[in-house]
Amino acid sequence: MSLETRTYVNQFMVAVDQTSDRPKEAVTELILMIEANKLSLLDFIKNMGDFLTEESENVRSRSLLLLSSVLSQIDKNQLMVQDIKVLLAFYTSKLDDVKCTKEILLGIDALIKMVRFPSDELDNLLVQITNKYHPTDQLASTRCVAFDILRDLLSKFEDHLVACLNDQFIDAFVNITTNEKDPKNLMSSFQLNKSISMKFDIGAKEEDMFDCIFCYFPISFKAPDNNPYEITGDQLKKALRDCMSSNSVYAKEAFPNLVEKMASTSPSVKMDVLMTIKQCIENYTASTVEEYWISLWNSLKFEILHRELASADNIHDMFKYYENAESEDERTVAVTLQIFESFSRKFVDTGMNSYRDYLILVFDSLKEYLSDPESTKLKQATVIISVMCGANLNTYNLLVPKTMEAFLAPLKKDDISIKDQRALLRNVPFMLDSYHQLFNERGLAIQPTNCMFRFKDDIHTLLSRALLSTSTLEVTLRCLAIKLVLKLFKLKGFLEPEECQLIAQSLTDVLLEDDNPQTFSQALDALTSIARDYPMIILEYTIPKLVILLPDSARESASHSLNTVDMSKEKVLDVLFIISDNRLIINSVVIRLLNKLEAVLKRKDDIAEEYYAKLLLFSLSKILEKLTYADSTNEYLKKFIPRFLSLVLPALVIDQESCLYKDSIAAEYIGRILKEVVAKCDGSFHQQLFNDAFKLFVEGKCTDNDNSLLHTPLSECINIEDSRYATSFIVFTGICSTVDYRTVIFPVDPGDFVDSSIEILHREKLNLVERQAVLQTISLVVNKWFKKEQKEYLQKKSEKLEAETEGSSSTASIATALEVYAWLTKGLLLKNDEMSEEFVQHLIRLLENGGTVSHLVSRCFEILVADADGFTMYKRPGAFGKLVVLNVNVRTFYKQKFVDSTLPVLIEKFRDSGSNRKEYLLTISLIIKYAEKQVIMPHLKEIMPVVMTALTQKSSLIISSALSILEIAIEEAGELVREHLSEIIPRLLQIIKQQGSGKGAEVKIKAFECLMGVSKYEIHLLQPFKKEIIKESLVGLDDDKRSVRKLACNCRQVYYELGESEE
Amino acid sequence: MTEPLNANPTVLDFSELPKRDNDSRGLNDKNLESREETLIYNRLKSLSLLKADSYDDENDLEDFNIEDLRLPDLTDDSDSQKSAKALVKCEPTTTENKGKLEPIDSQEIYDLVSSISDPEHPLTLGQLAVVNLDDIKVTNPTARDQIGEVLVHITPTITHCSLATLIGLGIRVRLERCLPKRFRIVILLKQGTHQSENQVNKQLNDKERVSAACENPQLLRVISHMLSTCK
Repeated sequence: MSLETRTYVNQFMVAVDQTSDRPKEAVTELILMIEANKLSLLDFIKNMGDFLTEESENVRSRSLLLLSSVLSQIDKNQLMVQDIKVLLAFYTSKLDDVKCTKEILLGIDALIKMVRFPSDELDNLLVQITNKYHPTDQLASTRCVAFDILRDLLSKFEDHLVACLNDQFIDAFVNITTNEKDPKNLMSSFQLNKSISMKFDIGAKEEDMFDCIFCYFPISFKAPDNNPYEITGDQLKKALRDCMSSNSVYAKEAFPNLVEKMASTSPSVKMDVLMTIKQCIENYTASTVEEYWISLWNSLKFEILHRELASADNIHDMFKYYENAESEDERTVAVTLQIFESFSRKFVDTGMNSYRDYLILVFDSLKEYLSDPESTKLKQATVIISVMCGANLNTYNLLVPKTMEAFLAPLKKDDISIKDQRALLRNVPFMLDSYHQLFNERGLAIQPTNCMFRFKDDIHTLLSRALLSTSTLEVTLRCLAIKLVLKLFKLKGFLEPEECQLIAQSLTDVLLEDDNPQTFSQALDALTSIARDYPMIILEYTIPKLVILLPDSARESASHSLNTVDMSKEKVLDVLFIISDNRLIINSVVIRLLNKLEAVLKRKDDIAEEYYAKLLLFSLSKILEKLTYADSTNEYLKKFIPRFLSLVLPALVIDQESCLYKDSIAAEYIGRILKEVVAKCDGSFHQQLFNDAFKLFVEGKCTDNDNSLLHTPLSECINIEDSRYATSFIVFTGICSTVDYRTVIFPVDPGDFVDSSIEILHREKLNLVERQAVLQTISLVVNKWFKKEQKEYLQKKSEKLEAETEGSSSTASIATALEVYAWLTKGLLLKNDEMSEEFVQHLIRLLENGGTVSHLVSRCFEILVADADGFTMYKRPGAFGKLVVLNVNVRTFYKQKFVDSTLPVLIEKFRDSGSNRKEYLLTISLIIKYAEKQVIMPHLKEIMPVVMTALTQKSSLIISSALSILEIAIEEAGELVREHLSEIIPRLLQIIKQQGSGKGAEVKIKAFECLMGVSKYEIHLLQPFKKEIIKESLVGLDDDKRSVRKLACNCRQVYYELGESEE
Repeated sequence: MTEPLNANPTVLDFSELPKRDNDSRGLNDKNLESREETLIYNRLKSLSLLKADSYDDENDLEDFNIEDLRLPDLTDDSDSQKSAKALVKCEPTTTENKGKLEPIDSQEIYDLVSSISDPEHPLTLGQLAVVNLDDIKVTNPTARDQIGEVLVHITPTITHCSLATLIGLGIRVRLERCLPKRFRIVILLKQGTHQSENQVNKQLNDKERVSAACENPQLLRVISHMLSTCK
């Protein structure tokens, strides 16, 4: 037995590499033996015997390490009280053995963790540590163990230590922490210090303890790059701050020292000081803080008063600005203000008289600024007071009356200057921010006696002076007043309903009477924001006032009062559009505009009405766009649509004298209005709606009274297939594109409907908009209602195409056939139909033919990828509240799928073909024009040769597309561009030098952007081109277009600077 | 300019600087609706094969005349009247927009120079009101074949500002880099704003001295730094 023990002991002792497995194994085996009671602790120690007292330091420390290792890993229950006592005595007796201190401390720490560690040993242990252990002689890793010991003691015997061994523990701590410099150990030291300061009675040792803390302040530690300590400077700073603020007794040392350090010129030190002061104020007791407040206030106030504060609309924004400021110097402002907040929060009880006095002292020292509107420190003073008031209701009640009185006193003078009014309007809002902070943000109950209410009248006076009796030339003043109005409206429970109304009225008058663009747009913004929260106020006063300004006919101007500025009807409608930001308001505005439209349509004699009527329709569609699905347009189906259609349909297709007769743009607007209403009403109405629409537009039944779309029957039946009524097809398309395709059943066979629509295209003479409506409807029907049954039909269509595009037919009919085919393909493509691939392949085949047809075909590809109005997607909440699109069947990744499958084929064909290159180039350009960056990226490598060819073309469309790809490539695939740099740059410069504007400008801008993009490449690649680029881009400076000139300037600046910084 | 020291110059906020008045909201724009019409037509045209559209600048597709494709009988008479009217209305606006010349004006010059940063403050010349929109004059901005002139009056923040020449030089370098060569650039101190006004003026507009200054690499670096801030 003892032989075995001996072996293991020797195995440990002789191990050269201490981290290898062999010594560890020995320790494990020994522990197993002791735990199994095969080996007594005594025997174990006997076996080590001589080693422990050996002269050689190495052997001694090694054997001690073995003992300590065994102790630290052994079962915590294994050792009896007596064992522990003996071992502890052994260890402590050797504590002054400088060479073995680490092993000894490890052993002591292991013993402390034993379950049966007797608390009566603590006293001795602490004394021994204090007397025998000298941290200055030890390495950082050893000192670390000493901190571990105290920490473990504290976590295990806290109550006992606090109760009986207060001084001993503190002494031990002060001893081990003296002169500590290692960051990691300092962290432990600070943590221990904090616990001690908070839990122990440090009254007697206060100075020692404080010295342990303050000697490190301010910390300028910056972790080295590899950060071996795994500690950052900020962590240390925070730990130190925690110590300092942990006990109020430090105050008498801390505050004077901190105030002194505040004079530091380094912003980071200043920041640290301020943060510490803040935390101290927060953590120290109220009575302590109170004692030092005057000296703190006297030094802190200048941090704010002597500074130009950033311009912000409210305190919150100002805080945000300073908190996120880039310079540390600016960030100190935020902390200083937070200190004031913290101080204010200490005033928890109105009975705290000294606090009251101190707060009044703050006010008194700022009063001279507050009561003088011309003071340059007014803003700073206001911000300080507001911050303090916003932090605490007691402070608020104390200081608001005083401050507001001081503020508003100049208002009582009759001859208050504009400048003073401006100062008031700038600063009163800051005081209101404290109200906002307390009652909006923190949701405190608002008493009717709230001290701010007393000043309402004065604020009203201030506002009405600025808004009603000041010249409109005082733009800043009036804008400030409008901002104040907005703020008042946002304060919870501040304004009474009548007051709201009164203010909204004066704001409306400003809107109508002030033609300064800045004031106007501010007033409009304010009203719009009020409209969101208080729609009724706007409805009652503002909307009627505005609608009155709309004339009943294009020629006459509306009757309005004398002082109103002349507002054009376009402007009125635009204001109405902007202000309609709430369902109630939209409802009312829509009905009023409909009335207006009715009046306008009645006058048939004047051609100018056409524009006005279209303007009204356009405005209606824009306003209805603002409704969301949540607003539900169900009501509109009953109240608005029948009246609207009964009014506009006759005007559009029946009444030949009407100003809108056969006006396809008006029809487009009507279609849009229907789209908005249909898309946002409940899906359950759709079938009925669609049936009625079919009856009305397709079947030509109009005389029966039960069509829900009409209010009064039409005087004659209309039919979209009849060229006389073709314009109404546009309206029908609107309904077709928005009804839910999953629930609505198509009333007739969709194939037949498509056939007859194609028939219309060939037969009738349609204008552009009508033609497009028919084509898009065909596409929509294919997309939404074609099922498996129609597969055969589609196959036939595909087969027939060749015959239709034979050279014998006229160009027009070939074009029509191709167009129909492209739209059919689009309908299939969008829903990822299995047929779509065949259709696309067919189109690609046609490209090869060359000549007229292939040129047309390449345009067909544009139809496939471009966004069409008919396919506008309307989202509504579906299952699980997820937003889904039900009006058209569009798969999310259809475009990507299309590009991925088509682009490589086209690029290959482009490479192989000689004569038809242009068609392929055009096709590729057209596809690229509509594809997003992510879709193109995977094809960059293949497409680069195409780009290089395209850049030498003359067509601006092709160049523009090529430049778009180039821009992406420059950013995402630099290596591809770098290879071609010597070709690309001269080519880009060539493009820049081209004459021409319009589309040319767009190309030039892209070329300049590309040039700027490549400037980020390695300098040695660009240096050869630098001079050339600067010289050649000179022509861009004299371009007709301002945007081109601007980019030319920027681009040249970039290249002027290229390489300069390195020189 | 009564303040003896320039520690605390008046600073304008960015929002207070003059900007080009582009009414982004389109208020006052009487053509909002007609613009929409043009938009509709343009969009539909790009989706239609029967069109003579914006690709007509493709000279290399000349062999293929798109005009042929326009169907003469596409619309009947009463109809074409209507649509022609609409088209006529939109056509002029598009061409007008396309070809409209935007002359170099004082706001454009202001935008160029106001963003230069001051050598001693982290602020721009615009914010410090060293350059003001009203103090910039552009003569003869459009005629390409004649000499034009850009005259900038600068206002130093204090009368003994030692950096007035540097600021002036910065402005000159910026303008020389960003204006076509046909403009003569004259930079003067605003009358009565500087103690040695004549001297500085002379220095700023002396070709020899300016180009000599620009050959000093150290000086050029300072100027480069001033110009590099924002554009």
